[in-house]
Amino acid sequence: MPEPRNEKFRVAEYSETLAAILRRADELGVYAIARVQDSQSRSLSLSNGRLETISQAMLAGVGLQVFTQEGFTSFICSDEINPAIGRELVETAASMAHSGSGFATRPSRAVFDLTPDGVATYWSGYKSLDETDYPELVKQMTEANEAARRYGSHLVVRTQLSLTDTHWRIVRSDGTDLSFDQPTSLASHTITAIGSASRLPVNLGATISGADDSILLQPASRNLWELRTRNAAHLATALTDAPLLPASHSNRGYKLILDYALAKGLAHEAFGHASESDVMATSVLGDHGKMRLGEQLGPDTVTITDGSILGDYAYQPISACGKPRQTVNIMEEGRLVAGLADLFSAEKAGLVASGAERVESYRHLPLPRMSNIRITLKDPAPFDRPFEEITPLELQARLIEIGYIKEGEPCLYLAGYNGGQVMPKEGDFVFNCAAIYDLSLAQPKLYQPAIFSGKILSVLQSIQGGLGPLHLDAQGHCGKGGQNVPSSGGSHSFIVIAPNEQIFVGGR
Amino acid sequence: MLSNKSSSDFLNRQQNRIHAYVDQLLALLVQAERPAERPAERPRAGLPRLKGWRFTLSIGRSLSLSIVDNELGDVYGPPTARDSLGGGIYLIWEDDRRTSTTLDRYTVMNFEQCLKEWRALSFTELYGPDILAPGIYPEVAMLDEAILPLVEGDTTLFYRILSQGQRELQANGALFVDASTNASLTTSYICNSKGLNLSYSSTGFSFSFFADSLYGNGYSKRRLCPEGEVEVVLDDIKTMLPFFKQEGQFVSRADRPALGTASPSDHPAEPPVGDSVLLGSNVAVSFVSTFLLSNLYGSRVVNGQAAFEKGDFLAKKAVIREDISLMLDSLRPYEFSAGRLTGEGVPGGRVALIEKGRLNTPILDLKYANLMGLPPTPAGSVYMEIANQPSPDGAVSHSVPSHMAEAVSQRKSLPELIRQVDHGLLVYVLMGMHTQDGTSGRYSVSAPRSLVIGQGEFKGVVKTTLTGNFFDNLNDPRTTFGWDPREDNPAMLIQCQASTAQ
Repeated sequence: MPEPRNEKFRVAEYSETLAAILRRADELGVYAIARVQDSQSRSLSLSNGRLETISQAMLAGVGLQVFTQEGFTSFICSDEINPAIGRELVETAASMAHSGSGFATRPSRAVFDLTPDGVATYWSGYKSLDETDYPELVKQMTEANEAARRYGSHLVVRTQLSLTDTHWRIVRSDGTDLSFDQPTSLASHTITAIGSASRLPVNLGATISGADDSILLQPASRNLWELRTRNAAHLATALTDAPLLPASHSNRGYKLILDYALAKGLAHEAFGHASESDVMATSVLGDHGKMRLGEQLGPDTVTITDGSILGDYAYQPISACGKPRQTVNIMEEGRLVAGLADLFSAEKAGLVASGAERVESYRHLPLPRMSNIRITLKDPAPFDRPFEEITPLELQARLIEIGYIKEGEPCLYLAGYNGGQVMPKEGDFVFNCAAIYDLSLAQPKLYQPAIFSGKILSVLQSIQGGLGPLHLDAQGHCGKGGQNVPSSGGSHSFIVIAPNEQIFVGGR
Repeated sequence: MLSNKSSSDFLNRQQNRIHAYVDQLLALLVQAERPAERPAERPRAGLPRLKGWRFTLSIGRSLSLSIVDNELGDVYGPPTARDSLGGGIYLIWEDDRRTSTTLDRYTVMNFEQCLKEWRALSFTELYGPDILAPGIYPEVAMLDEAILPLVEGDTTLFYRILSQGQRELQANGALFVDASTNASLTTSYICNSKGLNLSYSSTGFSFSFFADSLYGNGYSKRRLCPEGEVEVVLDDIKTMLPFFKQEGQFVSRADRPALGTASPSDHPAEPPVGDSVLLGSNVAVSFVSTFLLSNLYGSRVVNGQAAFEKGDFLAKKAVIREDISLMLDSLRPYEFSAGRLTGEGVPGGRVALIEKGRLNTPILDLKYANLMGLPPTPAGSVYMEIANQPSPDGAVSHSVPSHMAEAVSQRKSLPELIRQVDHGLLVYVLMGMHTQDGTSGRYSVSAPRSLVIGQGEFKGVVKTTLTGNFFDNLNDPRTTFGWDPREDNPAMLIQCQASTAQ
């Protein structure tokens, strides 16, 4: 087996084992997809200036899917990587795969139609953990923690840094042998403010993400994190005494403004998951198992795209099955044109496989997943102020100026993404924000966050417009199928959702 | 119905493999405790010696099989085997710097290199704990040899359970069935430089079914399920599923002005006004976990990031109703939470985190136990106890101690609780709980499949948003509890705002 050409790849060490796996699979007449992961990570955390922990973790192992000629399959994995174990894994996996033939198991022969993807390495070029100066990072994080606490008089700040350097190598029985790295970095504060009157604590986060320690060491990135920290600290303090949203504001005639992080949540939860090929049999974007391609499901100003971006938190150039990941326009000008398809369910869903397979680790089965998903709108209204510096009052003024809202018109601004969830089979989604502002008042009024829920198709049809440039760095994690993988995305600085009875902001 | 075949060869092989690894690791760590005498010959020359250490190490094998969207054992849920060996290690160097890192299969063979890297990662840990001397560790049943053949690779039982469930649920109106089965075997070691050297093996077995993404049930213990358990689970789903397929109607109290506007309060003295909402035991547990348990971790308490402060525990402050206690228990036989000791060597046991409504102790590791001035707590799961309604000492399969039998028999059952609701909701599934800030107690979550209860009977489903404050609910005298004998924690009938979203 040819060696990957870049010596920096730790997974180059496993050539002998991978060769043994493919040889044994060939002897047993089964098709194999083997993926080796070699991951190193380091993390540190501080609480109120005190260094709590520095830790490192290593993860290395091999995951193996085999397919019998009939298409019956199994999966096996081990953290022991050597040729003898590799052969044992194939034998056990082949035996388990054959066991499905006596039951009503649906075979999958998609792997036998794959075209080889050659031998190649994809090196991101980002700094490895060995090249990282940890004492400097401890110093930077300590300073950041101290600075965050100065944004309020009663703030408690927990600061965490996580750096991960993962190398993958994926081989298939058709001779494909692809290696790539997947570096991620994440720095975050969790800021707790205690109310002076209510004594109720409020937690808010401020994060910055990327691929290596440049998120802390590059001035532009560091300044961005500081701005987010300042905003989170001030907002947390203000929220300690903010009222709950009245029930009368819950929906029914209120226009909604979402910032780009919430718009990413909307794209991810309300739309992206429903476009994944493995759920098409029951998804609201499917009809009798096929994706509803060609249907106009949103305004002709709306395009939704998913694709991996170098340097992004959710970067992944090659799929977990060894196919190059495609950038896919799922919706173009409101029309459904493609899905996020893996090789196993693409055909059944009426889609073309787009290399969407992702896994949390070598111990997991591939599923079609998003990477960086974004909503783009035709002719967004300009709004050139830096996003982190825009106040609710400025946003309100700009919305009135460009005619998206009238003075006194019922309108809620939902700021900051706090996670979400979707049931693609029913089309229900929810997500939560960090704060809500009532923009119908001359001075925008702050309310406690409340759950934002609705129906996928309804909300798509209600996207009315966007303001400002694209921001694609809204970072998160996706937990589909019990597997936690990095996700990201975004939209214009703000998007506008027209009033809709199917969209609900939970209030009191 | 279920196989009771015993097989210990696989267990012995697993134990032998980890014994060999542990023996090597112990020898290397003992060597690292001694000064490097001949620097030229010692790769660890220049490193300070270790003055203390502890590690946990586990070797495991699990086997699983699933149904995904009616497809049994296909590419999204095939027969799957997973092997692993790993753990964590904590080092105290001669100069009192600390290192916390992971162990993997290759640590022993690369030990000298690892030691150098571990030293490079070391840091000064304020209030870092010492190594704990060995104690007395309670016995708790965690191994069922009947599971071993499954772990070795015999998938027959898995296929049989899943096929039976799929067949029966589809025959009773389920359009889409999702299900999974899993068996596991793990052997663990916990060792330290003060002589702790303890190992034990444990098994696990679980299965679950979900019909049309509407309603599900399952079994999950460290032993094989008893005869008839699969049928009990399937019968429950078959009984409940039709109720979830009827559209219901619900008029919230907020939408009935004559009854007054709902007004969840942030002040415990003002009981919440709203609708009667019955949280199924799994949903009640998620509320307890998000809003109560998350505020009971020692690190969050000491660092000021919890709803409760250090002084609140020392003063035994009353925070919830006086008949409610929250227990942490690692001694329940064959539960997944069962454990003889923590990774730091703290013996297993049972402790009240909240006792009769008053804060007793946070969940404390050694470091935060020192900072709190309280004993460290065991690992384990949390269980609610209600005075005069003690929580079960295990699930239905476990016998209730005789001294508890009378009290247990007085427990209100879940069906009794449902029958007492004139106008309300039963919630089995929530969306968005993970997005809530647990410190304030405030919640705003979506309940997309709330079963409407009218005069004690189910009247179809509605989608609702639940809003309130869980601390208020736990102080509200109207909150009542109902027990499902198969569940460890009770269902809770609370008052909160339930807004319908049609």
